[in-house]
Amino acid sequence: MKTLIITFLLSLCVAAGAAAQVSVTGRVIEKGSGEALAGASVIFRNAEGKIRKYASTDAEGNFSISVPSAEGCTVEVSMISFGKKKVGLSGVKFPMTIALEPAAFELKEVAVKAQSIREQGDTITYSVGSFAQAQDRTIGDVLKRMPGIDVEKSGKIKYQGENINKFYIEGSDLLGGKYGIATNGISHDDVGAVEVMENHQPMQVLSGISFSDKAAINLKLKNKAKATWAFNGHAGGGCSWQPEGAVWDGNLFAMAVMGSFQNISTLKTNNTGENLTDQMTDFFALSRETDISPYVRVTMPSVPSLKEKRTLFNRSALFSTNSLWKLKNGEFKAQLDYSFNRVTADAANVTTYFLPDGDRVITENRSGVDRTHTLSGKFIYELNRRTTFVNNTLNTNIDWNNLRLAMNGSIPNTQSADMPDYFISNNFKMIKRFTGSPDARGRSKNHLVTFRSKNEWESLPQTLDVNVSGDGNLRQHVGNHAFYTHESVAYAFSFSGVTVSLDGGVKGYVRSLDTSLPDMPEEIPGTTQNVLNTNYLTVYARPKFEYWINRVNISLSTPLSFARYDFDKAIANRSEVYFSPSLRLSWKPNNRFSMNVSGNSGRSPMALNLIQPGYIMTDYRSFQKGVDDFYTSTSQSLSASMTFKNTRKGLFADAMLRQSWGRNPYTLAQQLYGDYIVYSYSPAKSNREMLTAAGSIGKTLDFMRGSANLRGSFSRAESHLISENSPVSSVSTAWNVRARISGQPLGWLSVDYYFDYAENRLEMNSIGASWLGKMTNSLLLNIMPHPKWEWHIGGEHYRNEISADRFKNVVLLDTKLLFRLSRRIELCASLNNILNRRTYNYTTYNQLSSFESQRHLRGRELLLTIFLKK
Amino acid sequence: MLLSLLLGLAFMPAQADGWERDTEPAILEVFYTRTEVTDTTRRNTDFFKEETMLRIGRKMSRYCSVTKFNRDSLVYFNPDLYWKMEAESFYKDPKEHDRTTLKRSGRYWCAIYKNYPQGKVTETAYFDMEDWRYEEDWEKPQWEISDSTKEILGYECMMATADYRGRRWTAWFTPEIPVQEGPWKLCGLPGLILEASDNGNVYHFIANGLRQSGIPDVGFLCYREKRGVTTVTRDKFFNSWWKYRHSDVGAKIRAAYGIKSEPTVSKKHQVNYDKEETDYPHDL
Repeated sequence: MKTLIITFLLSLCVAAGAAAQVSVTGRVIEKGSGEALAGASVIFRNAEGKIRKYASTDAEGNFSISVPSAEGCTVEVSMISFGKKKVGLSGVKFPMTIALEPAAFELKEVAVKAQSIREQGDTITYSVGSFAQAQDRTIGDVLKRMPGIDVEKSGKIKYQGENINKFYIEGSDLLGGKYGIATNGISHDDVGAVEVMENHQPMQVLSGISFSDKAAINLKLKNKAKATWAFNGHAGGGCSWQPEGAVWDGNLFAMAVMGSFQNISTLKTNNTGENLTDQMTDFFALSRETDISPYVRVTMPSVPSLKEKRTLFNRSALFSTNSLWKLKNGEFKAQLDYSFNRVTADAANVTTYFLPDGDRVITENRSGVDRTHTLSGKFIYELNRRTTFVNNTLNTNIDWNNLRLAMNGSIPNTQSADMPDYFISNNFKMIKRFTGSPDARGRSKNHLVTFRSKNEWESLPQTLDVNVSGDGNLRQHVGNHAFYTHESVAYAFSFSGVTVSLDGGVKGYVRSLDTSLPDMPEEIPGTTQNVLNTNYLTVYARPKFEYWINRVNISLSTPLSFARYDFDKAIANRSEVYFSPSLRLSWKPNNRFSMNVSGNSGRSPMALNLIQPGYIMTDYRSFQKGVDDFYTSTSQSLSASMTFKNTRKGLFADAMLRQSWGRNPYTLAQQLYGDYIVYSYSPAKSNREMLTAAGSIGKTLDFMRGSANLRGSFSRAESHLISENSPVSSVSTAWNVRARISGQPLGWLSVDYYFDYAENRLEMNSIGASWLGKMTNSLLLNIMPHPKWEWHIGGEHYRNEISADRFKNVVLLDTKLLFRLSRRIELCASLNNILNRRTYNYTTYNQLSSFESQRHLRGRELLLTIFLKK
Repeated sequence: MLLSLLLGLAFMPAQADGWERDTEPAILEVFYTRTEVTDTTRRNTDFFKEETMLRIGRKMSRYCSVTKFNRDSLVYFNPDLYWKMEAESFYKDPKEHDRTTLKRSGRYWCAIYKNYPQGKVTETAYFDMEDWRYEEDWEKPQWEISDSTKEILGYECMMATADYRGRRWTAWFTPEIPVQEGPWKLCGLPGLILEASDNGNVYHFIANGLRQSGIPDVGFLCYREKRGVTTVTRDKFFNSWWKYRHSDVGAKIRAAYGIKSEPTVSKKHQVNYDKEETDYPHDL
């Protein structure tokens, strides 16, 4: 009786007769004042709750409804600004008086339906609320559902098949390429819309001058998340059946988006199989020009066909803080990150090498521990104006990586690799734009002057200790340092749609390699010492033409360079001239369709880290030797791509095709010496050929507030190598289809379904192996019986073809119960891998070997988590 | 840019004399997409689709076009800006300008005021180069509720049908929003009408958004009155429209300038559709 007061003022008996109609009459008043309420709705519902009659009150608040019988029926009186009132009619005397209590009327939140995708000029706006499902937490979860946007497993975002070139939060580029921090941290509830800016030119000074075919993403925050600190986090603990013991998962995320200051900080730790290293990846990072890579390649066994969270036995932590200050002139950004990752893996492997004189089988039981600490700092000053662009980026990155691998089997051994990596770089770039005086037709000439200076230093010392039982210790040390400097000046001018630029500069490179392996195995035929320097000095000029005609952009680049290589007597010094022209055509006839065709051809130097006269041990049974001379390779490629979108219908499609050819004057050769495999390069010509095709189509499914995506890809690669002195030509072909459907078909149910099918085949010397298929089905049902409760039921089914027509099926089930205590607090209990599947068998094929493995899976896991949000 | 400006204006409390009178606070605003087939023999190509708004106060409600309302309020409150924008868009691309001008004005140039004055319905419209207005007694459709339900904008809606003014209407209303309102003259159900159409599907209204807070007041838009409004009876209003639809605009202009005298209204102009209400004298 809190909100309902019924007074019976009068009673009136209606004579009971055979054909009697009951007249339900009454008066609606405001509680307290007793004033009559005119215009209130009165709904008469029968015993089943169906609406049979209705009326509205007159100026005196009176209503009258005539019905056959009122027994078991109800009337419902409602009016805007008043609480609804239901009155049972059994035994009630008419007319009745119904008093309504004033109450705020609230529209449902879902009722405010913005168009899910809008388009204005080059900007596509996705409304987050139209795509988010109850089970989503971060904005990254919702981005995956937006047609046209693809989030790869690593977290890398693509729009219409192309990598994005900027990730903004409220128009500010706080994180650069490390946007995984944002997509994995920002609650989708704080984001109002995701904007995609097509053909985004991040440097204002180049706008209208240089064409960009890349898109950028901007997160538009809701007002409640702006000008304040937004926090969210969770803490969870529980136990696991494999690895046996306690598990934890914690996360704290803080974000401030103020007028002149932005900060995102995050602290995460878990041992539940969530890989945190991907979240720190800089997706915009250019490859390091120091161009050194580890020689030691002791690797942990990998599982290609299961979701990572099923197989990763980890202990991970990361801390990242990123700040941006808007200054009077430009902005300053500081990013500091630290991460720790410890991964263990155990595997039993049987490796079969396919050799011309019969297969060779090696059995291994491997058990590895990989520990990595990464510390990085990035400090950026940037001024981005229409006439000036200045950017200076100082970047330091230190990794400490230690990997231990113990093995028993054919060659029992332990390996330990220490591979710290020290890197520091500074990039400076300045572009100045001058606008000339306009000509008779009011068009003016733009001149651009660019200065660039890039300096990088990297050291990658590697120590590999191998202890083969019975054979004693092998200890190899590799010293590898490089310094790269690049100074350039560019001048460009644009006039009536034509941009001509000339870019010239000097590149210098110094690298030293020092390797020693004192106690080499006697099977290895040669020295295991390397002391050498590979240096070069390059002078280059790169003219570039860009032209706009009838919505076609033509761009031609013709770089020409002269390089002098100095190898410090290890091999003969060389001078080379390189010319690598490229041409690109972009056509965008309208907002819906765009097409790109491009091609390039050129000569390039070989990777200098292949120059190494002595042997280097890469792992306990492999050695590598470099080339005997300096070589250059040639390559050509042709590619075409197209995109289509119709934002009104929420339809996005893209397709691409690429063919490339390469010719090397050297060929990778593989030779067995006893139990050791030796890789070296023979001076024989080898050709590579590769064809890739990919396409995708995405569509919103408005009827269930969802979306569907279908993606396909095909690739064929042909390469040559020499195995045991005989040439092997291998062709690997693979195709893959992925589909994702998600939506909320019923008010209390939302569904995520993912399907992946892949097939691949490796052909050696035209002897075709059979196609091997892999299928993954993954389904998540989220049942919401009540706004406060959610129940997730998830299942994954894998069907892997181990060898021709032999399949391995695995089913993994998860469940989760979530209770929303308040808007701020959620409690969650999850049980993963209910069936407690602990092992997984699979076979993969390498170029010259097959690899059969039995691996462990993460077992059943119970986790209790509390989620907090501000 | 233009859009945001216009939207900004729509949010502005329009309280200037001469623009709107008899205002009262609004309690709810409903946006409907209104589709009107203008040739029932070619209904896939000949139709107009337009955003309309129903602003509901405690006493009265007003139903009109969003685009027309926005454009007119800009012309009224900031004519300088409006003409500057017009000129800019014209010099940029005259062809495109013609198209966008039409878009900015919308196609639905009527406004329906329910319970204004009390117990009456007032409709205003502009056609045949004149502003028109009539008042009539507020006649509500007599609905019959069926058991069919469907969800619109997250609200459970029930189906109701009624014969009203020459067409049979089907409406979907939600008892969850206790407002006896709807698009055009449709109303009187125990809940807001979120979708409605006639049985020939010549007219269709579907709600696409609801707004409860930040709504300016609702009142009678009187900004055309100083130009002179022809106040007529309902029958005369619709009959004039029917005649106008059958008229030869060229002949009319020629007649106006005394060039040639010829009948301006003829049955030769076939009109393959009619108003929402069809129970008015159709003589020419």
